Amino acid sequence: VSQSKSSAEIQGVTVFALGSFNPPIFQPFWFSKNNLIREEEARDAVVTIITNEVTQFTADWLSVLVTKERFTVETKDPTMHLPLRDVAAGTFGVLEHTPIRGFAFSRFQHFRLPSEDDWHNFGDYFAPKQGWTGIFPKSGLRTLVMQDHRGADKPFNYKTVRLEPSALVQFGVFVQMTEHHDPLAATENPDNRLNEFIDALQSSWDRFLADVDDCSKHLLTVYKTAPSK
Amino acid sequence: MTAIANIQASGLSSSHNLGQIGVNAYSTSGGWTYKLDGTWTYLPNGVVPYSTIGASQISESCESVPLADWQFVKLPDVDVFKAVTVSPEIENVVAFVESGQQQDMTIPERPSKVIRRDGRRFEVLQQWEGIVTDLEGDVFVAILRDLTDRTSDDEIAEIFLAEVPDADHPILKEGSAFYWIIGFEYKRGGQKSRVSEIRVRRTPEWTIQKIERVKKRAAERFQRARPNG
Repeated sequence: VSQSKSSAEIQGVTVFALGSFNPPIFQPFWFSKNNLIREEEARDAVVTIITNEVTQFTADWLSVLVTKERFTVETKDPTMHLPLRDVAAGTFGVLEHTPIRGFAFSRFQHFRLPSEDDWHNFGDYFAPKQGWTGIFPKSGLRTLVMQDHRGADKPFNYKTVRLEPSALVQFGVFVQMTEHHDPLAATENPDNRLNEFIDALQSSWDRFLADVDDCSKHLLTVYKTAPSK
Repeated sequence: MTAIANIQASGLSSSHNLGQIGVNAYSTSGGWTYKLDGTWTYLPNGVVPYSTIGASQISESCESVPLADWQFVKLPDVDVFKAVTVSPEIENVVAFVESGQQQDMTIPERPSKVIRRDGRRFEVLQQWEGIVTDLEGDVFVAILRDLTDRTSDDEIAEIFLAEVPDADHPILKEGSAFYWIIGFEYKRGGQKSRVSEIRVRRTPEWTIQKIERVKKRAAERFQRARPNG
């Protein structure tokens, strides 16, 4: 499993679904009652808010945020990637008539680079400064988002990768990959989308996590190939 | 808001050297982190003057929480230090002890923001998905599928029930699926521990109606997959 080999200092994985939701349903004990999390986890959950508009809580390793349009589950515990998938799939196994329009998987990682020089070289490699020296004498990469091409053969619509200096790890970089499964057109059947969502969780989750690891590994290696200044 | 970090330290006495202690404060936007650290000395009056604390900033824009705004106070009769500051930008504080035997503890005034496993760093060495085939006394037998190296053959293992968290005992039976993960956990102070964790896989109960619907869906797919379907 891809989560395994990462040397990220901090990381998290998120499952998003777009659709039409009823936030007050998604309470900690609803998850434990439906055998999605342990009862102890539900009992000790820290609830931020539960209203008709939004529910937000954290139950040990699991964070849940649901609004009327968006469902989000996340874990920052690298040992809980598979249970997170089970929670997302299980939720909509129970709520099987929920209209889902689109969904996305996202994973972020903070890596510490070996030195401050590496940190600068990383930024310079992906955002060369030549084009900016006339405007900003001392510039640096803050955010870079790359998007791949769509391909009919892919089980998703497109991917984005975001690079930033880490706000949490000194001389670290933040890498986030998101795999987007676009919202349906209004005329399409949302029931099919729900099935696609659950199928993707069951069949593509490991592949997605492995893709992120491959991407990070590539990014953290390729910048070293730049000729030294 | 007022952010309070309670720092748990055991066996304190006068002039007890606490070792390295840090307090990280996270902004509401997640954009910066502020870190205080230094060698603390517990004084007889229970107050640790902040002048003894060194300060370092992890990101650039964190001057909004100046060092002098932090107050460190030893609570009477309990081995807890409080680090207190007031800032509209602070959402969460995390206090930790970087060396010595003290344990860390975080209790922000808004406990809803605590994510217990935030920042857990875990390097997975091996992960399996198992199916329980036999359960007898204090051991169970399981078929293990290697998720780290999917080319490996399945293995059969005898595992002590004590390896499974108590919360999962009621749902552990013949046929149960579980995740078994072995790896190194890195504590904030740099301590590296070998950890083995088992978590029984949780899925919602299947109703007769649901099984019928899945059968119907599978039949439709089978039909579509047939050459003349």
